Amino acid sequence: MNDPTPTGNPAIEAMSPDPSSGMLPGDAVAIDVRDLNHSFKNHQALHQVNFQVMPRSLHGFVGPNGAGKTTALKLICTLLQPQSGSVQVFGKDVLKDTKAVRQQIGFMPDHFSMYRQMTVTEYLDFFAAAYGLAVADRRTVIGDVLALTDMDGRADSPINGLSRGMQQRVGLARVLINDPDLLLLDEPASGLDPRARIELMEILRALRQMGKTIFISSHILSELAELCDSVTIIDRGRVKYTGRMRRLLEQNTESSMYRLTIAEPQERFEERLLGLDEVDSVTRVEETLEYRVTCSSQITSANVLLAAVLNLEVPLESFQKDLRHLNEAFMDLTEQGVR
Amino acid sequence: MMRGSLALFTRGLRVDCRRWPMHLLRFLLVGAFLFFLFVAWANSRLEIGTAPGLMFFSLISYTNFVFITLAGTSFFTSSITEEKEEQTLGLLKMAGVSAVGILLGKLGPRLINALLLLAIQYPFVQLAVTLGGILPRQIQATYITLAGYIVLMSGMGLFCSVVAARTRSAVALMHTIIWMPLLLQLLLWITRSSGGTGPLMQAAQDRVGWVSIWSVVGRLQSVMMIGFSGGAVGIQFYAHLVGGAAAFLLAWLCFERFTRQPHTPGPERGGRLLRVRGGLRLRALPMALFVVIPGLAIVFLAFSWFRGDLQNGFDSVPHEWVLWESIGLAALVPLGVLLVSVLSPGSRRGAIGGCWPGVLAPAWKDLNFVSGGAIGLAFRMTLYSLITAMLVFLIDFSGASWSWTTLGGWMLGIGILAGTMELASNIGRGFRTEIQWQTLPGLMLLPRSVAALGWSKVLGGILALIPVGIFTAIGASLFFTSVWESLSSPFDSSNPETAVFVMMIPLQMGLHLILFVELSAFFALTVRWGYVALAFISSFFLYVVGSWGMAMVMMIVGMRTRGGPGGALILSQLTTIVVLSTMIVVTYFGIGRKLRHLAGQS
Repeated sequence: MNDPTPTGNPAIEAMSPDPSSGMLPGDAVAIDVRDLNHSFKNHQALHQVNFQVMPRSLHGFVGPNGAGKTTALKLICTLLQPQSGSVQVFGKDVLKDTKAVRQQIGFMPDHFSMYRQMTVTEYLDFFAAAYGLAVADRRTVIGDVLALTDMDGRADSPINGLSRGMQQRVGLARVLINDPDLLLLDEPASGLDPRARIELMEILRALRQMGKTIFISSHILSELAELCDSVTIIDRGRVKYTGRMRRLLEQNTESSMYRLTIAEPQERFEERLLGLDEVDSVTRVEETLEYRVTCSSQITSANVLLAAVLNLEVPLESFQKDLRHLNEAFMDLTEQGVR
Repeated sequence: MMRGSLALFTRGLRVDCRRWPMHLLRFLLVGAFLFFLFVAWANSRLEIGTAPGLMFFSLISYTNFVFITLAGTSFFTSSITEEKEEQTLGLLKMAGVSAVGILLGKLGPRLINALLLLAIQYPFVQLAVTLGGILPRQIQATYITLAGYIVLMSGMGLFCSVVAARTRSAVALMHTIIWMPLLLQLLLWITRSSGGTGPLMQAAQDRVGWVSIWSVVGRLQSVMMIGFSGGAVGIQFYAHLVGGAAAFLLAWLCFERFTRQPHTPGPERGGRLLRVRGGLRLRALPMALFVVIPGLAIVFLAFSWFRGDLQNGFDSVPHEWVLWESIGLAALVPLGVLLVSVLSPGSRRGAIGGCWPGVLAPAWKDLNFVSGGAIGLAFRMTLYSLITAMLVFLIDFSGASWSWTTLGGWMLGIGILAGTMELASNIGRGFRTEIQWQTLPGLMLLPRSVAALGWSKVLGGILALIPVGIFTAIGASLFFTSVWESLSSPFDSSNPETAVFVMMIPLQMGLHLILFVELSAFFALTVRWGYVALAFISSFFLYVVGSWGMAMVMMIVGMRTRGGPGGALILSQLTTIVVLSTMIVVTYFGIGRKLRHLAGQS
């Protein structure tokens, strides 16, 4: 197992994923990117990029347009060669062990790159054959991936005639044909209708349960927040955050927020809350019995605050830490403007 | 209308200025002209010809003719199809640009570019007058002829571009239109010679000749004749001008009809094609050939034996039977493929396991989905059978003495030419479609080397040559005796230098063909259309400047140093072979590098 290397950025190091999470003895880190730089002519696409993805995790890769997401993905999947720094996939260097890396990955680009004149079966049969699967294995594998992506009813349909959502499923089936350990998905949900998007997310959840590591680049932050165990936020070629998703959503450098609801109206409840030492500000959510409490320091733990609130002897209905939405985290970490 | 048209026109000029293949073409043309000047100078030094100016100007004129013909089949034919392929034609219409505005805006820059390329030569070719053998009037007449030809080609190219859905189809249609008048002329000539109504047929043949590309050759031949006294503007110019205008008008009339639907092929179309293709399996072709060819051969031999024709050898067999055999083959191969497909078990479309395993998978894909699969192969078998039938008929009809060697020679020649063009087109298209459909990353991510992928695609292209391969092999076997004689005769001669020189010629030819195919693949990765034409021009340029020029230099050196050209010619051939081999290796690695680069970009 590889130890995390200092990135030079304490914030990133502090936020690095816990190597023990999701890892079994003998496991290598699924993706290990260290000091990665890449430029196109005069444009520095990636600058000292460092992050790790744990095996059997679902890792989101988020950033504005032109942040360098696709470049990083192409470097991981061996389509581009790193100019400096290193990229390892399950402990194998993408430059030295290209073929071995390719056997372990499945990359789905952000555009529909398909042989549209083929039928679904022909398309999958072609890739299965190209990966060297025997005919008998091909039958089993194609049947399995078609069932997983719920495309077995359209096996003989020409790809040209399929809807965008169905084509995306065929693309996913193709990625799974060589049974890769790591799936690299670049904007898999872009252009899909809500139903197709939800169904795609369900397939991804099923794949994670099957033990696949999934590295997904997406703009649909709400779904990523629900889906991903960890996330890397990249902006203008630099990593702004990498680590567990929950940590990002909890993270606020100056204050912590809690949401509490009381069972019945209380007189001067806001004032009483404000009177607590730990509380910095209180906001009532419209005319409801729900209050948002901001604590002045992160040192205040949930238990201390809860005990203080209970001491006020009010009928408490619910008490929970108020998480930031991923959109807010994203906006906080990334800069304005399009590259 | 004018504003939109002008905007398109300006954009077209700007885009052409930014396209490096356009500059490469101009560079090659200038390079060729400089080389012709050198040839004229060398000729005068060696006292080979008496009119170096005429020779210099003839070379330039015919090179222009070839360039315009190639441009007609690639440069003009993409004018509207490129908008269809980019799906921007609808946007232009929505912007309020009328049909004629679009046509003028798209054709205008290309026509201007082509005419400017011709115009810019005009002051420089006056040099031919000072070299001797040509008059300014002949130069004027030649350039007017070529200008008329450009207008005709541009009009026809535009029409094809409007009618066709893709540039590839437009190019195919353009070729059909170019060759149709020639075939019509041939048919009229045959009918007239067979006793048809003479004057009427002659008149019809002449009228067809006006729009035929050979009218340009005919006109150039008459202009180049010493003592030319005709007018600077011939009937060919007016005919081509009218032809070009008529084609433009036709394109205008057809525009709405053929551009109403968006370009993207709909599911129904794909479905229909797949159903037809799915019914004909690739494996059905060899099985059909296995049945049809021996069957026809047995019928042929049995009937000839029964008539007693075989007693005096094959030459005594009536060659009408070869004609009927070829026509029989043309008809029976597709029928055989269809029958085998229907009757053979397990030929269900979409059956898993049809694709060839491992590194051969891309070859299977290209053979089936780029080169036409079983349908394409059966079609080409029919085409080459019909060509054989036509050759037999023409040899017989022209009154030339019939021999298997003559037929074999024609088949061999046509086979090599068509095979090379087919291979270049197949491989080029194999690479081009990967870029067009953005499927290259998927292929490059397979756990194979780039070289293995490239060779697999080459194999796919080569396998599609089975019909032309059979045609060429039959031609070669018929021609074998004379080929063997021509190859072995230099060894009998007392001069070993000649024998070595003769041995090097096929090697050099083979290297040229390999380079041409490689260049087609390279340009397919580089330019969107016209890659075969560009490869052809580049190969032609390399051939002319590289080998011929080198030979001339060596000849001069040889004559000065040894008093004879023999050793110097061998040295020149050797140099050419080394240069060609180097270029083949460089292009090979260039293709690999380009593939990696494009996969990372897409």
